Amino acid sequence: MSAADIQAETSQYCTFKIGTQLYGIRLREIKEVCQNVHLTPIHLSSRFVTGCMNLRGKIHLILDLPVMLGRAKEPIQSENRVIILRDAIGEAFGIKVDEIIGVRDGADSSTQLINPQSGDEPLNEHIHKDLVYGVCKLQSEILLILNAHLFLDFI
Amino acid sequence: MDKKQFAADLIEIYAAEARDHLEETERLVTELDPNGDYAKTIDRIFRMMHSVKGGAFATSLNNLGKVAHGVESILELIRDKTLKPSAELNPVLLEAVDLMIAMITDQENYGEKTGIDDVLAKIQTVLPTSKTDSTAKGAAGTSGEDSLGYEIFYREPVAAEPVQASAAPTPQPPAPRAETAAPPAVNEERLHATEPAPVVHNTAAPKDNLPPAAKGPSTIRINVDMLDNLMRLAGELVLIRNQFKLLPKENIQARANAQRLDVITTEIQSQIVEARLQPLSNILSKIPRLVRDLGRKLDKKIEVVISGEQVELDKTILETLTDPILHMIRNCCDHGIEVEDERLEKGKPATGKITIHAYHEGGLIHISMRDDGRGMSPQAIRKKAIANELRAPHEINAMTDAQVLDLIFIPGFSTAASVTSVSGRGVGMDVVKTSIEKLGGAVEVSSTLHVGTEIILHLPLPLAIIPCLIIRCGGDRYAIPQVNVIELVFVDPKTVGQRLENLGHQEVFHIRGHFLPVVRLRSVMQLPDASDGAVSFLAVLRAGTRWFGLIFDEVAGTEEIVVSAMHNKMKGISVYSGATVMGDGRVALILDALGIMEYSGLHTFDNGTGFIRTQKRAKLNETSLLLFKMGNSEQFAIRKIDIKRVVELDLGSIHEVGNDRFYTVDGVSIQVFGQKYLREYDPAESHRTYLIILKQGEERVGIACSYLTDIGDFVLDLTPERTKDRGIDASILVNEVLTLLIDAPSLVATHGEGL
Repeated sequence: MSAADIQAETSQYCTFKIGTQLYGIRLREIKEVCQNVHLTPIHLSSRFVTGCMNLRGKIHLILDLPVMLGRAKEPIQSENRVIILRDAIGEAFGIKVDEIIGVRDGADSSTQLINPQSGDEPLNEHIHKDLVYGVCKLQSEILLILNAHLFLDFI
Repeated sequence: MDKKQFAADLIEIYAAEARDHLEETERLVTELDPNGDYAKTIDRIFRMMHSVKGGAFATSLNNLGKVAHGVESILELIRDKTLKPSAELNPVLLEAVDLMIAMITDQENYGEKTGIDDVLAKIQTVLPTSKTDSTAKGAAGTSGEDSLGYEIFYREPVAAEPVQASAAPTPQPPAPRAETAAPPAVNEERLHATEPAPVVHNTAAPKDNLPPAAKGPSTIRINVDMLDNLMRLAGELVLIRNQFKLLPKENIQARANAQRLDVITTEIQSQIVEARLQPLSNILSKIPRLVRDLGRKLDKKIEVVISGEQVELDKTILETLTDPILHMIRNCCDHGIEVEDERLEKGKPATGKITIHAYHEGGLIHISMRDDGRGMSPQAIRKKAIANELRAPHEINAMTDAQVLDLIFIPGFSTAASVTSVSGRGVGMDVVKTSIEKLGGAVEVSSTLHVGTEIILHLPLPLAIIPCLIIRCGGDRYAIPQVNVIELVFVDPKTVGQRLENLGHQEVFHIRGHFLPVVRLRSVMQLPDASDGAVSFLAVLRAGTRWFGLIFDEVAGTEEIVVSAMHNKMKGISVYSGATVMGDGRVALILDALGIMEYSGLHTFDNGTGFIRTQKRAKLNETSLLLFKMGNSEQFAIRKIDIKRVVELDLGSIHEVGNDRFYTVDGVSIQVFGQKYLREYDPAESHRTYLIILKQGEERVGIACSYLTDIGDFVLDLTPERTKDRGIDASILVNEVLTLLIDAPSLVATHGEGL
């Protein structure tokens, strides 16, 4: 996708906070959002896995997005949410995020594709670099757009 | 739907049915005994062949049709007693049937491109030459097409009226007996239909109208996917039922409903599970043929007796079993059964016998394959195992003959003097064992030299909804399939110290006179030990034929659960075999006994029960010791089982209270022994110091040392020292160095004065 494409894109993003940074993934990649879920830990799995949960009888694998973005592992709290992603992104899985902010429209702001190879990348974490594929400058803050397709590749 | 799609679908339906017929025919022909009563069998085969033939021509599979017709001709002649099954005739029949099976399995062309002339020629040689109306070429006296322009494939005498009465030519069912002398009225079957429409009807009709037709069970073909779906839905039903079970007891009406729901759900469950069951005969029926062929090929006389083939197994288990079982039969024929001369020399009957017996017992299905062949030689196996470096020589010599037999399951093992084309490549038995274990089963082998060998497969009953033991560990719940649980042991915290020991590098539990290797589930899950270190529950688990103990926090009950597969990305973690949604909606992971055992690198000592019998003796000969030095003084040794931990010691952090010295480790104050050494300690020396923390009940003591020399198993040659009361057990020679062996209990009792 060229930078121009992104700018022309009218997709909406579901935005959420990880720490103090605002991130987002495209709305159409999301199946649903859950709260107050019980996660069963899967010991011996990679640190990027928070655990698994039951969603209407089907067991979903939930990844720890904060850890994937280089933060410390933390137990799930009441304001955390779990975003379940569509089957096209990956089967029966979702991500844990700290706090959902809301839906933002990418059309009325300037969005720029980040070249992961560029040297002036302010974020050092290798993992982080791969996941962020766009930056959107909103009115009062920066929104980092994540590439949901890469989530499952972490484990 | 377009014509092409319709035709393709039709062929598929026909092919499935034809295949069933052909496989059954193969089985029946194999068993065809010229001296027995084969009339009914021939009838049966004839009907099936006819059906196959009709359908073949109707779907334009002419090659197949021609071969079927040839077989039918032979059968016809057998039916009217012109021919008899014989050693010359049967193989021809079999070859033709085999060819047809190969053709029908060819899903691209269904045999249209296959060469059939060879087989047709062979059929011709078997047929008596004077009869020609049964050949594909036409009626008696005429050849090729008749005046109406149709190729005639079948003739039968029919009275004139029905033919005239019927407006259109309808296919007539063949009469039980076909007259060869052709009367005037001839009915031709229009088998070269271009419109496929009436076909399916054709193949079905003859069966219904035949008088002697045995009424088989009415069956219906359904897609396996549909069954899997039903299974899944039944599983969801179980989930809802489980949730009902959680309702408070006061709500009587709801509870009553829940109970009824329970009964019905269980029934639906078992019916669906049953639907997926297929009889073992699906595999076992292939064996007689296999054995006959091998017998001929290897020039041995072998017979096989099968019982229990009606035992049913889940479809997927059955499919996985086919290759292992056939492999073992091949092995048996190739290596087990001796040639005739050898057998007669040994006083055995000339014909080798393989007995296969399948039965239910103890919640499992057992399949036993026994032969009266030459048996397996423990000596030869030992030699081979050592030669192939599969185990160290001293390990092999320590094994009993029975244990040695299990070595054949190790990859790369083969005692065949030469690799034959039949077996002996050494890749078989380990694959067999792995396949069976993957299904949750086990393989057992026993043998007596010159007498015979028996291999028994143990298999679990159908999966998907299984009863489990629910346990808690570290705050999480886990499910262990009941089929893996032998017993639960509650360990009294007061006596646990005596029953749980270290034997070599393995923690073991003393139970009824045996030592059971144990695994702490907390360590497997990489969780810290329980805060009070108490062991409360131990489950004796079975993985395959090996047993071990699992220590966990508490029992949460038993439950019938629906098994869900682990997420694809998690499948690599061997300790879990799946996951399930519990009654409260939360997920619990299902533990895999074999996975836990392998993950922990568990050392089991006996294939039968996992109990250690010989280790008690070994204890006297070899002991695990830690050798260390304190400063420049003598070398000391302490038994590994007396050691709790070894930590680095920061001499500057030792604080003194009166004459005693203490050091804090993880917030706990440990009394430090080794006063003599500590007094001599020279701060200028820059080596490290260590604290060996002892495991002595409630005491928190440790020994300071400067140098950890070695750790390992040593043969102790004890010369008891008089100084035992001061903490030294004996002075011993370890690797020719005089070493003082510490007796931990007395050392603690005497406050480490001996040091």
